Amino acid sequence: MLILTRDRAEVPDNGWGTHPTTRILVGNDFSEDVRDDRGWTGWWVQRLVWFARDGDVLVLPTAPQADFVAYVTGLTGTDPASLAFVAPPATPGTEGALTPERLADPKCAAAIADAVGDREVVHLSALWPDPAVARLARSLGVERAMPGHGFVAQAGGMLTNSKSMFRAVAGGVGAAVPPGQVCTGREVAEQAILDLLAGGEPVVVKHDFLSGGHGNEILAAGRPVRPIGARRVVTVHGRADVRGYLEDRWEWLTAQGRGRPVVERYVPDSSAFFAEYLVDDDGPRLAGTGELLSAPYAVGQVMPAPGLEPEVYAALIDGAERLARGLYAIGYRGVVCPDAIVTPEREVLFTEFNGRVTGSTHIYGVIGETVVGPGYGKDRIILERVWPEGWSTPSFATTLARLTEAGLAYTPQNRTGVVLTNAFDGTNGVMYCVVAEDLDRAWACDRALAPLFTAAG
Amino acid sequence: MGSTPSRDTGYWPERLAGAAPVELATDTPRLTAREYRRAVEEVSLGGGAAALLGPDDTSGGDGTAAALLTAFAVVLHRHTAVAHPVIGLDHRTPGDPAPTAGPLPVRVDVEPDLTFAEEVERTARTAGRDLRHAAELPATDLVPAGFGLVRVVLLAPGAGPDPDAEPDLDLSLERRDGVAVLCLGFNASLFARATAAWMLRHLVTLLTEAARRPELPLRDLRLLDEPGPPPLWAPPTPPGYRPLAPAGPQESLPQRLSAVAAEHADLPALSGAGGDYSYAALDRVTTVLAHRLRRSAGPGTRLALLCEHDVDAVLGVWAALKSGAAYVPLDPRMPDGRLSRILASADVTAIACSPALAGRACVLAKGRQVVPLYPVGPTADAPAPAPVAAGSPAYLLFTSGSTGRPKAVEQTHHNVLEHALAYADRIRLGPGDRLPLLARFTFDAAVMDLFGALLSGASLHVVDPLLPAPALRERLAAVGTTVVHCTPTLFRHLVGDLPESGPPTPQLATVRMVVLGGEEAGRQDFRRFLAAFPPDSALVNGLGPTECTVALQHLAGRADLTGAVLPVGHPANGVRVRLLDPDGHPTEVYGELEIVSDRVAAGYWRQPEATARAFGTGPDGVRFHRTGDLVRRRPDGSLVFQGRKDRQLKVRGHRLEPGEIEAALRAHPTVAQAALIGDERSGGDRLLAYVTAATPFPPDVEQLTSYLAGILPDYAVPWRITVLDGFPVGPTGKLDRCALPLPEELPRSGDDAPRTPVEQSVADIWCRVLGVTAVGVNASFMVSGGDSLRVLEMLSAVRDEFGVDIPLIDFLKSPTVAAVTRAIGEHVEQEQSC
Repeated sequence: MLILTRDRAEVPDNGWGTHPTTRILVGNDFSEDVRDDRGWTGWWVQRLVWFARDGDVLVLPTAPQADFVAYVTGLTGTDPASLAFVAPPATPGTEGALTPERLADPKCAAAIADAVGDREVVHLSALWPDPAVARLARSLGVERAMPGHGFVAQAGGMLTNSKSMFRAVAGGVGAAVPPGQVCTGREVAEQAILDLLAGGEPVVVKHDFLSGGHGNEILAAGRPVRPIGARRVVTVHGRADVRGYLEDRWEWLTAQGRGRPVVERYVPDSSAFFAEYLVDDDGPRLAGTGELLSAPYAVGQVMPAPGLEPEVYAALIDGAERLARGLYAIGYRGVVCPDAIVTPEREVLFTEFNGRVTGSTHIYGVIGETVVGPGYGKDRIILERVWPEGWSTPSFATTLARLTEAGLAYTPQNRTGVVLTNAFDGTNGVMYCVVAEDLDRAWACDRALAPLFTAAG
Repeated sequence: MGSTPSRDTGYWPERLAGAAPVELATDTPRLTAREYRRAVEEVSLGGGAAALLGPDDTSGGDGTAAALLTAFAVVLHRHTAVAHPVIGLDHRTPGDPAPTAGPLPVRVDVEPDLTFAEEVERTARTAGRDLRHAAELPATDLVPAGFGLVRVVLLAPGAGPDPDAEPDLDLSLERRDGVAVLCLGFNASLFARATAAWMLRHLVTLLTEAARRPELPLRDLRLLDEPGPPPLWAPPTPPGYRPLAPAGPQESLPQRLSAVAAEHADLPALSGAGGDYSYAALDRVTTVLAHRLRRSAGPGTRLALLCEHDVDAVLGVWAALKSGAAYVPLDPRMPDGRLSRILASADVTAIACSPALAGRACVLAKGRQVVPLYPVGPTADAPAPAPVAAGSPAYLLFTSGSTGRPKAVEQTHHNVLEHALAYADRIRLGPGDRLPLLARFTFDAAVMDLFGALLSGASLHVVDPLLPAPALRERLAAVGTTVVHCTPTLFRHLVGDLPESGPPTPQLATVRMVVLGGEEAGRQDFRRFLAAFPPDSALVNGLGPTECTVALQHLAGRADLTGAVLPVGHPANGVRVRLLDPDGHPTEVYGELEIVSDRVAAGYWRQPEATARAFGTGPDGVRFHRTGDLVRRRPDGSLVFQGRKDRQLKVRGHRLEPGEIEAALRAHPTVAQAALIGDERSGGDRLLAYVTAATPFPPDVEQLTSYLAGILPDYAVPWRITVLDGFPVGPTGKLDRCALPLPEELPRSGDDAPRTPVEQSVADIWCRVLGVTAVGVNASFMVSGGDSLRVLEMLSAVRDEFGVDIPLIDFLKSPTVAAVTRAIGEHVEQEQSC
């Protein structure tokens, strides 16, 4: 099973038999150092359960949904009774997230220590490399068990999830990027945008930290484009329009001064791919690949990356590995996922990296590699879908029951069907993926789901 | 075959679902054939074969019928590849002159792995069941139930043919004085007697083999006797013709060119808009250019050549070859996206280009070196380049690829030299011959002329084929053309405006040979050839894929005037062919063409899986290539092209893999699934694409068309893209291409329909030229099925009707009815203002 990085602390047999050990996995979302617009993400981080092994201690904002835990462990083979779940005390408004305050609460450390008992902690990691997690590791006295502790403790997570830092690293390691630049000020951004627009192509302006296309806006001066991978398209006709746009959006683009926006050439008709690496003390190793579906924002993924010509795939891997090695060299340990666009001319241009456990890691790493097994990527592919607009379901259990009744739920016997990838989102949906022999069959299965979760059905 | 009727209404639909009518290739086209006229061929059977058909009586028991039915089905299967032939069974008893329902259909399931005896046993069982069910149906239900599939009939012994059935073939077994006689009745309006006799011999050979080797599976039972030698190849030969020296094992293309140049130094070698070169000049200039390339290209590298259709292209080819690099030709008419993909796929080190294309080359280069092929001064010289290994790659020629990336055939110096010499030998090329280079150097057709001419002492003249037909003929006459090599499409353009009878055209009076290839040619082409070219000239039709350029050739003769198609002939020197059944086993009459020759290419550039599927080396150490082309053998041993085994399409002479266009569509961020088919309503020249949405943004047809136009050649851009909610799937869950809805012929939007009289007149011309019923005013001519030659035809018609001469270049910038109408309007305004 793919885990986060390999366990840090090795426990020698002292002659009295195997020493009991455990791991601590922290289900945080993102660092408050980069943004503070956190909403309810308690359901989203429950995907941490996919990574659980027997005896693990999982720290989550709230107790996970029991039917989700039973479902996941039924597929992964983990003994649910062996798991310990810790939800640190919350204050009003923080119930849905592991804020730095909740992780720093002495009661949190005490509850975790209680769950650990007399076992040796050999591994501690989090979904997001937040200094608050490094402080928690220190308070528990298990810094040694946390890969890359020193890097994370000094806010290195900001670096591995920043688009401006990404361009710097890409420039240093020789990974190809679209024409553009990091903007250290509004005037710099204005000129960079105008220079790119003069080339006749639209421009994408990127928030330093937001992901999934939510932080991107396209400025276009010529023919209209559709905002694929961006929140909107702004039509500009000259310097005054660009200046006005930046005046309006500068505060947002810089995350209230925390970051530096990036300006890049937007290449229409491009597709987006990722190649995710696991970086540990031995260096980076390729963990998974996929295609990202975005219109306008991230709406799904296909794994492994389909349909790339060998030389295009090789360029994706080459650039992604260069970036991963760059982060390895400065002490980052964990998952890093470089994203790239493949242009109509089949150029591979990297657009960002994400140094955290991504929304893909549990799908290819656990559902693919473990649940589907050795056939993953050979005779099976995975199509992941964000819960579509207009679909509705009241609970995780109902969702699963409808899938099972329709004969569309995943079965280990056929190694095909729908796998629910996360807990009920609390409003109307459950994220899912389709395991199928090929992409055509996956889409056909996906279309068969609509009647189960729409009014027409 | 006993009878225990049991009513089952689902029986026939299920039984006939996998069956197909036996569509035998006819000697006369079915459409123009005269009325049914029965003739009979007979043959007496020897002991073994006769014994296999049962006891020596005249009644013909069940065993006899089943054995004969099986033998008949196997022969039909071998002739058509139909796995489940439906054969009409005449079940009357002797003396019963009035059949009530005609022959009853039985489906025979030919299983090539069974022995003859096993197949007979199975056939007896299934045919008995078919007959019982057929007998239950009233006569009026037979045809609606699908019995119209019956085209061949097995007659009951002594019953004689049913006069109303008019089958293509009927077979019966007679016993005459204790001798078994097989009688094959045939429709003499469709089949020549020789063909019927040939098929009858196949039955006899099959039965004899089955009797002699009962343990063999059906697939290993021979039908054919040993083939005779191919007909004598006797093309018109110029006086003093001298065969060329064979290729030395270590000889490279530059070595041979230098030897030819030394022998014919002062003879003209190359001409075109860019200049004239003697052999000595050609050798010197290309050596100087190779010297200039030495920092960018050399052995083990690939050099892209971006050149217009002019002498630059030929000079660039030879300069690259002398440098030791393999050349990768690029057609500047292709969009940047397509050329970028080729450059990346070929992993080229540099781009050499016509000086006028240097700017374009720099845009495409993306860090690679760009070397403009500036003219070489009259005194410039350079040392002879280092020898090039004969086994090193000479070129990569890109074709369409089924998996989404362009596929390149990699060919060596030695093989290209062998092909050129074989071609020169077949066409009897030598000094004094003058060949127009009509094909661009990106097509393998150019390989034959470019190398065939310049390695035989002939002269090569770069001619623009996109001239109006009279001008093209004038140009051919101006260079004194002796051999014309082109596609049938270009041939039809060249002579299509000439009368179909009358004296040969004076401009073509010097032509000795016309060589057609790349597409199917028919007897109409041969007729036009006979009318337009000198009586002592000859027409050659051929088949040679990029993977083995010179493979099959046919010297047309008078007999071809009555045939449905022109054969592609017999293997050229140094080539053998095999036919393969769908399982890859050798077969004799109908199957996939496999070319066996030392000249077969090494494979596809950096595509080991595609190479393994299509190439190999036989036990005798000779290379082979599975072409994917289906061919049929004729009684005279020549082969006829029958279509493709896979989904490959041929659009206006260009090989096209639907998978490449589907992959390009799927690569678009808004597309989930994509499928492509040829529009049979237009003869397959128009492509229809279908897509489904991957995201909440539905695919935008205009955006997708524009996107594809940026990365694909114009002939590969679909005529229509249809967005579907989901794809129709068959029982296995796979896409059912047959169920894809055909888009309307008429433009969907009323806004796109012609509105003014001029628009309507222009649209009428387009419809006539494109062979369609309607066009939208904003639809692209090229995407609607047009090509360069049809553009000329259309512009000529516009000139005739409106008196307006629209330059080709202007038209191609915006090839729509609306743009042509605008140009006509502007012309009229100018006329009025004057």
